[in-house]
Amino acid sequence: MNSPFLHFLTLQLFKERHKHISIIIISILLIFLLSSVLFLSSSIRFSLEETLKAQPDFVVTRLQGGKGVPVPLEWSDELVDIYGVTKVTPRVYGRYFFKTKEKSALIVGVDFFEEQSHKVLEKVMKDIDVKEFLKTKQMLVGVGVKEYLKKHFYNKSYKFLTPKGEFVDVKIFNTLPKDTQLLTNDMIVMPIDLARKVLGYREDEVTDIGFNVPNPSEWEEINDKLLALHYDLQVVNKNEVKKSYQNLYNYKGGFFLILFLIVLMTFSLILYQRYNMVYSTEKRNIGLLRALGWSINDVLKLKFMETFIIILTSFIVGVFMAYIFVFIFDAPLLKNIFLGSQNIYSSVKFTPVVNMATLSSIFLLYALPFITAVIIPVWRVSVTNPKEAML
Amino acid sequence: MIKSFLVLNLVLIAMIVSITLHYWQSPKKENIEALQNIIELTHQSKLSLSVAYDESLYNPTYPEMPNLRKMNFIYE
Repeated sequence: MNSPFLHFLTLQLFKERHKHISIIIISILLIFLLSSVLFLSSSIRFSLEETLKAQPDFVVTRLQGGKGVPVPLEWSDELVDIYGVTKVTPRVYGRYFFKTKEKSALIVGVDFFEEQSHKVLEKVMKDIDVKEFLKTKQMLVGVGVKEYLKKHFYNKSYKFLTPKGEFVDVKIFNTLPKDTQLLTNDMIVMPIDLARKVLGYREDEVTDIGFNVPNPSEWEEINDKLLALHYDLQVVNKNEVKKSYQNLYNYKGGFFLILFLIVLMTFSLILYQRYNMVYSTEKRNIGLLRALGWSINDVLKLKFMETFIIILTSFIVGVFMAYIFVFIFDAPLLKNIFLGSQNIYSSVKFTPVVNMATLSSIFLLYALPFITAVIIPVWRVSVTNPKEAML
Repeated sequence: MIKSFLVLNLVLIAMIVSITLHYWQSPKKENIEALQNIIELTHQSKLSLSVAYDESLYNPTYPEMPNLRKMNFIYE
C-alpha cells in the first residue's frame, strides 16, 4: 500500500487530472449508454423467458387469405381427442380501439366459471371478492389503461362500442397489479362472454386455442397431426415465440453494440494520435524517468497502471450510472426504444438483471483498445534515447 | 498511496456495494411469480408494447420489406 511506486503513480495521476478528465468523461458516457441498453434488453429478455414457461406450448389459429379469422370452438374438442395433448384452452382476446382511434387496449376474456381461473385470480388480486366481481358487467384494467381512462374522465366505467353498433357499459372493478405491468399495462380482463360481445365474436367462436404437450419428443408428431386436421389451420409453438423475442431484443441490443464498437474505434484512434504526436511533455516526462534510471519495463508498468486506473474508474462509474438509470429511474426515453411510445404510456418497472458475461465482454472490448492506444506510443518513446526524448 | 486516491477508491467501492445490495434485495422471484400468475389467468404472454397497432403491415418505402416500426409481429 505504501510502496514508493504506488505513491508516485497516484500522485502523478492526481497532479495530471486535468489531462485525464475529458477522457474519463467520454469513457463514462460510452459505458453508460451501452450498459443501459444491455441492462434493459437483458431485463426484458429475462422476464419474458421466465414468463414464457407458463404460456401454452402450442397455439392454434385459423388463417384465411393470410389474415387471422375466428376459430370455431368445436376445434378444441378435436384437439382434446389427440393423444398426448393436455390443458386445451380456447382464448378470446383482441384489440379495442378507443373512440379517437389513437390508442388501443388488449381485451382478454377469461372463463371465470372454471375453478382454476378463480384460484389464480385470487392469487393475482389478493383481496378480490370474485362473487362481487362477477355480479355485474365489470372489468380489471392494467395501470396504463386506468390512467388513460381517468385522463378521459372515465373514472368508474367505460361504454364499449361493439362491432354491431351497440354500447356495452362495463364498470372498472379494480386495477391489475403494478408489478405485472410488463404484460398488463394495456390489458383489460373481463369475463369471456362479455369479451365476445365487445369484440364481436359469436358464442361458438374464439380467437385461438392454446394447449400443452408435456412430452417434448411428441411435439413434431402432434404438429403433423394438427396440420392434417384442417387446411386453414396455423400452429405456433412456444419455441418459435421465444426465438422471435430473442431475435427482436438481440437485434436491438446488437444494433447498439455495433454503434458502440464504431465509437470505441474512433475513440481509440483519437487516443493513439494524442499520445503519439501531441504530447511532447509526455515524451519529456518519460525521457526524464528513463534518465533517472527507470527501466523500460518500469515506465510501461507506470503507464499501464495509470491507464488501467482510468479505465476501471470510468467503467465502474458508467455501469453504476446505467444501473441507477435503468433499475431505479426506469430508463426514461431509452425504454421507448424497446417498449414503444405510440400507444398507452407504460411506466413499467424493470427487474434488475445483470449479465456478468456481457459486462465482462464490454470491459474487455473497451479496455483492450484503450490500453493498446496508450501503451504502444509510450513504448515507442521509452525505447528511444532519453536525451532524444527530452528534446 | 495519496489520500485523494484512497477517497476515490472508497467512493468506487461504495458504488459497487450499493448496486450489489440493491440487486440482491430486489424481489425478482416475486415479480416473476406475479407475471406467471397473470399468464396462467389470461393465457397471454404478449409484451404490453406501446405501439400503434393500426399502422400498415408493410413498409411504405420498401414494400418488399416488413415494416420496421411494427413490433407486434410475433403472432402475426
